[in-house]
Amino acid sequence: MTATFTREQFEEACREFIDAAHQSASAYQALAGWSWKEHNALPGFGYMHRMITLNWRNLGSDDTCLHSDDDLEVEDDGTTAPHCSPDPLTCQQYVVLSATFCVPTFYFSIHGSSGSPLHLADIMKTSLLRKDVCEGTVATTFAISHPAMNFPLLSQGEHPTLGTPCWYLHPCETANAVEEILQASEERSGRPLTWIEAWLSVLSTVVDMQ
Amino acid sequence: MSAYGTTRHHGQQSASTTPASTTLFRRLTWEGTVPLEIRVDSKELPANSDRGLECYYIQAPRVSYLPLLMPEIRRFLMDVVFDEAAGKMLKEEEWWFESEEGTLLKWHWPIGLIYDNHTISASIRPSSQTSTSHHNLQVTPLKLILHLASPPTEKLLLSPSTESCKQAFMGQLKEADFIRWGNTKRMTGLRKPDQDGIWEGIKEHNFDDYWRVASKIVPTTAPARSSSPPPASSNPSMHTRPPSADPQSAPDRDGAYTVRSVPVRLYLPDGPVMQDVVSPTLEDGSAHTLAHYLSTHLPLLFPPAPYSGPELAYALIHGVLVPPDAEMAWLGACMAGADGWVSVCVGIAR
Repeated sequence: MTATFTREQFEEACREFIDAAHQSASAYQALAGWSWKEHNALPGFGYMHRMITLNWRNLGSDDTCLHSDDDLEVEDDGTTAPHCSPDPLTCQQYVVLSATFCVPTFYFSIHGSSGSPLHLADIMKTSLLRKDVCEGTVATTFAISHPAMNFPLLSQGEHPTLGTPCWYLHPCETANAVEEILQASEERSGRPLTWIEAWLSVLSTVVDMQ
Repeated sequence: MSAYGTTRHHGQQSASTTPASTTLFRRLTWEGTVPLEIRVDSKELPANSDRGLECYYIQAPRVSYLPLLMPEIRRFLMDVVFDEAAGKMLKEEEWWFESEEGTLLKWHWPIGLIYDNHTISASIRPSSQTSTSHHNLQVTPLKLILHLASPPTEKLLLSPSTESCKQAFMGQLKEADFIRWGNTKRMTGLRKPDQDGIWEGIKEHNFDDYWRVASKIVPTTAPARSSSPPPASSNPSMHTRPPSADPQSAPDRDGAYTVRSVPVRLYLPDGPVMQDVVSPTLEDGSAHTLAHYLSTHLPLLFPPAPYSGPELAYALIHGVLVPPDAEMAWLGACMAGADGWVSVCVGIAR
């Protein structure tokens, strides 16, 4: 069974997630810093947003300097060098409801210190996408595609509410994986995962959310 | 094309199984054009170019895209405006278009949609001098300013190339396929020559090339539907088969009225694009009409019946004022854009 969301269900799931993330004060950075935003005039176009800082990947294997914009403590495992790139990148991240596929979709844009959005070639050099995601894919200036996949893995699109140019991960494949994770979480004790939390953990196989 | 009477497979149609009225509207939609006046920003003309000739007029197909016009515009600029040295510096991937009022034009929108959206926005501006009656929508050229460099990358999608345009177009076709059936099997079932062929039909603006492939994925209205007039009986085989025995007019599993949702998008003058489930029939079994769709989504602009006040707003599809009793499923089969979507532009009556 694939879950689909109406706009009301999507808003409810996001608000439930944001509340749970605040209450649990989780150490998982993937859950931190998200807030609910609305279109300034029309109902039904709400989405989640957060802003994080990214670095270039080649600064030293998987080290990233990551701060969420509400100053939650970064988990320091002692191996992360404390210095940051002199040129930190700003990443706007959005969780938006796809009107066609009726599932949450991850949109983002990355800006350099000058404020200009990064081109795809540069995006692939940041720490945002996991290195193995691009194996077997073909990149153009406007998309990353895998020959076996029906839709590009990553392509350009306008943010459905803001209208600004973004990049987004195609939502088709994620919903089934989320169901598996939810079932596994039900079998464990403790608080069951919200749908959005499960979805973010699927997403984090592709995107470095921490 | 499949022969008449063979088993239909994934919506394959031959010319004789598509009602003549459906083909007529599809051809009218395809052949719609809008006038564009394109002028290079005078600040970007090189010093030794001929400034007196920098406007290019084109009657552009509604179903085409701005990047597909670029080769033609480039030839004009090379012939008439730029000398050879300046011409070599032209980089189409940095071109971008702006309306006279400073609106950035989206290269991934079909040209007809850009035109209608702009006409509507211009008509409601306080300084507008267009006719106050929307029934008198004048067809004036859309004046575009072409910039040759420094695209505003915070506001526009990157890379207006033919390739990126093709990918965006194919993506829209796949989404429309998904909206109709809950899967994209019809699109992914197309062989590569067909997938390329449907885009070639757009590039070359060839109706037959486009519909040779599109007829495999776009549902049609069956001949027995009461909403379409009976087809011209020029095909002798149609005389011999009563409609009830005709497999093509039986409840058609690939027909326009059996889709789970019609691909429709609603465009207001400003604001996000609205997209929701549009079922072909309503709960009471009646056909979902444009009037019902509009009054459900924009009840303040299209008050539901009974309403006898003045008209507050109007809806254009391909520049046409579509009658309110038009059926959404029929629109999806006969007046969709080439990308598979019925784009409804809402204007405010003055």
